[in-house]
This record gives sequence, structure tokens and C-alpha cells, in this order.
Amino acid sequence: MAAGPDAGGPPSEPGGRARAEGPGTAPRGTERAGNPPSERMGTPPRGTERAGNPPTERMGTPPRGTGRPTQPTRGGGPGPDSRRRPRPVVADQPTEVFAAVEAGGTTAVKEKAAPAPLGKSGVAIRTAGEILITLGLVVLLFMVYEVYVTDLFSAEKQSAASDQLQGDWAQDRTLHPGLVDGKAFARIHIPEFGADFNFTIQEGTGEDSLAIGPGHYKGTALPGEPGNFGVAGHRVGKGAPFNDLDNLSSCDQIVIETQTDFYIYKVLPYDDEISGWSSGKGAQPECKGVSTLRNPSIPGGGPYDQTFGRKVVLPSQGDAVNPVPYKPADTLPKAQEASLLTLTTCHPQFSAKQRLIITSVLTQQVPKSQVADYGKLLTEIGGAA
Amino acid sequence: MYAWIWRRLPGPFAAKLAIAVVLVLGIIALLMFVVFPWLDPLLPFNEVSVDN
Repeated sequence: MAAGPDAGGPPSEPGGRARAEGPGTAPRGTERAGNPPSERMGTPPRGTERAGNPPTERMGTPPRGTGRPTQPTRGGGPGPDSRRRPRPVVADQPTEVFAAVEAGGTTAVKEKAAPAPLGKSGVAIRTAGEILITLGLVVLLFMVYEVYVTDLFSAEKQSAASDQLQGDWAQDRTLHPGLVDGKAFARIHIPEFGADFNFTIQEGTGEDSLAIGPGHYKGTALPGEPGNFGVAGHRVGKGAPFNDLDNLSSCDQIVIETQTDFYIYKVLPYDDEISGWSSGKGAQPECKGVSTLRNPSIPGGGPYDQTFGRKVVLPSQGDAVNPVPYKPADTLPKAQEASLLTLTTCHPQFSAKQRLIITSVLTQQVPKSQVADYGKLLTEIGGAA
Repeated sequence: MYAWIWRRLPGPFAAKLAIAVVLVLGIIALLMFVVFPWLDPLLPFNEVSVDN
């Protein structure tokens, strides 16, 4: 409807346009002249008309009147008509078009609803497709849950465990007599992963312990003790504390913090570094205190001949956390065992096929009476900047 | 299935849309807080320890 008035407006203007667009009138003139001018087309008189018209039009409206007479009433008569015809058509069209669109839209919806006669089998196929798509989305959502959402849940648990551990230490509660399942008793820092990398270590490697942070293999040595302090941690989701364990190289430091001490472990030499260790990488200052643990007087290297800084093993190889790794529990008397720390996580990432084993050896014990907190310790041991 | 559910939702379009969004969010919450935590330990993704 709005188009009506607009369309009505222009027809009153054409005179004005005709005035303004002197040259533009030429085509109109031909249009106007329509049939008759075709006769005049080549004739000179037309030129006179054009030349004649503009001045008269400039003069004002009255000349228009005079202009018309030159093109007899039929020129004036059909002209406006011819203008109105197209415009009204244009003006009508929108209304018709809009109406048509609305009508078409509604009918289109009806048409879409109409093909409901899919038949029972058609509906069943469509429903099956919808269910399959939905299940696919649920699986995707589960992956998001595993990789990201569990991080949020675990971060909350880790934060609570960390606060409680701090409180326990501040209140000077005795810890070792009672390691409680799922309760934090130590803290692990890995300077290589950043100065703020720290997780509490819980007792036990059950699902609940590991949801909080790394878990201590029950029955294995405690921090600083001879034997093997075994710790498992998630690599994907649930905080993923051991996500970057494969980025560690030999001699990287792992700091275990207890109520009273910092224990500084260093990753043992890797398989390909064993030979020539003492003259090779082992001679570098950051590797101070790190030996191959091989006994040169025994052919093959002695009890620790299977111990490397990094190893990938089958999930069934529980002896990776034995006091002497990969050897029976009673291989060496306790006093002769090296103080090791073994971290385990899944391998490869996102898989449970194998386990990544990182083994490190105790190189230094720093009482908290000497170095109050981990930040100061870092500056002393020259860890991550 | 979804068309059938949509037709079953009461009210005008806006109300239907609001109810649909609430339903979808509810289902996601149910999955995230109940179903997935239950399912998680049953799957092998979280085995990080060696059999000790």
C-alpha cells in the first residue's frame, strides 16, 4: 500500500525531471513521440523541437503548456499515460509481489508439510537418520568432556587437595604413619614445565586419586627413600598433569616436596646416551649427580641394566615401579638400592596401548629449614626461568 | 522425530524455541554430570598406571 502514494508522487514529478534532465528527455521524446516521431526521426524538425523545448521548459510551467501544443495533445496525452502505465505497474507489482511472496511462503510451508506422505518406511528412515546424527553429536560431546570438561572438574579437586595439604603441613600433622587413600601427602614440581607446574600427589593409583592429580603406587618407596617412588598421572583430561612427560630429556629436574624437604630428582640417561655418558652429556654441569647406575665391574651393567630415563612398556609391566626397575623385588638389599622416582602415564597420547615410563634418580635433598619455598629453591637450582 | 517433538511443544514460536533450548541444555547437563562421569571409568582412556 505504501508503494501507492510513492508511485503516485513520481507521476506528478515527471515534469520536474523533464526540466532537469533536458538531454534525458530525448529518449522520452522519442518514446513520447513513440509512433509519430519514428516518422520524424531523421527529419530536421525534430532538432528544432528539441532546441525549442528546453528553453520553453526552463521558462516555467506555462511554457510546458506551450511545449505541449507543439507536440499536439496526443503527444501530451499519451506521454503521461505511458509514464503512468509503467509506474503504476511497478507500483502495483510490489504489492502484488509481496502478496505473492506471503502467499507463496505460506503455501510453501504447506507444501513442505504436505509431503508427509513419506510412508511409514520413509518416516522410519528419517527418524533413524536423526537418531544416528544425535548419537554422533553425543560422541563428539563425550570427547569434549574427556579432553576439556574433566580438566575443570579435576582443577577443582586439585585446588581443594592443594589447600588441604597446605593446611596439614602448616598444622604440622604427622603424615607418614598414615597414608590415607586418595589423600595428598606430597607435591610434584617439574621446572621444565614452568615454575607454576605443581600437583599434589595422592596415595593410590585408583580412579578417585588420579582424578585429583598424580597418584602414588601403593607399597612403593616414599620420597627420598631408597627404592622406587612410583607415581602415575593422566596424560589427557583430568588436569593432564603428565601431558608433556615425553618432552623431558635426561638430567631434567623433578622436585618432590614433602612437609619437611625438597627432593630433587634428575631424569636418568636415555637409551642412546648410556654409552659414553660420563664423557658425554653426563659431564655437563646440569647432569651432576646423574650416573647410568651401571656397574662397570659386572658385564652387562648389573641390576640396573634395564633402567633408562625413558622407556615405553606394555601396561602389564608392573615391574616398572619395582625397587629395581624391571627386576624382582628382592634383587638388592634395601641399603644398596638407588633412590629412584618413576613417573608413568599412558602412551601414545589418547591411547591405552602402552605406558610411558620416566625414571629419575635422587641427586639432592634440601630441607625446608634451609630453603623456605619452591620459588627460592628454583632460583638456587637454576630451574625454569 | 525432531519435527514431531517440535509440533508437540506448546505455545507460540518463541515459547517453543525457549522450551527447545531448555530441553537441549538439560540433556547436555545430564550427559556431562551424570552419564559421562559414569561412563568414563568403564573406558580405557584413563589407564595410566602399570599393573602393580
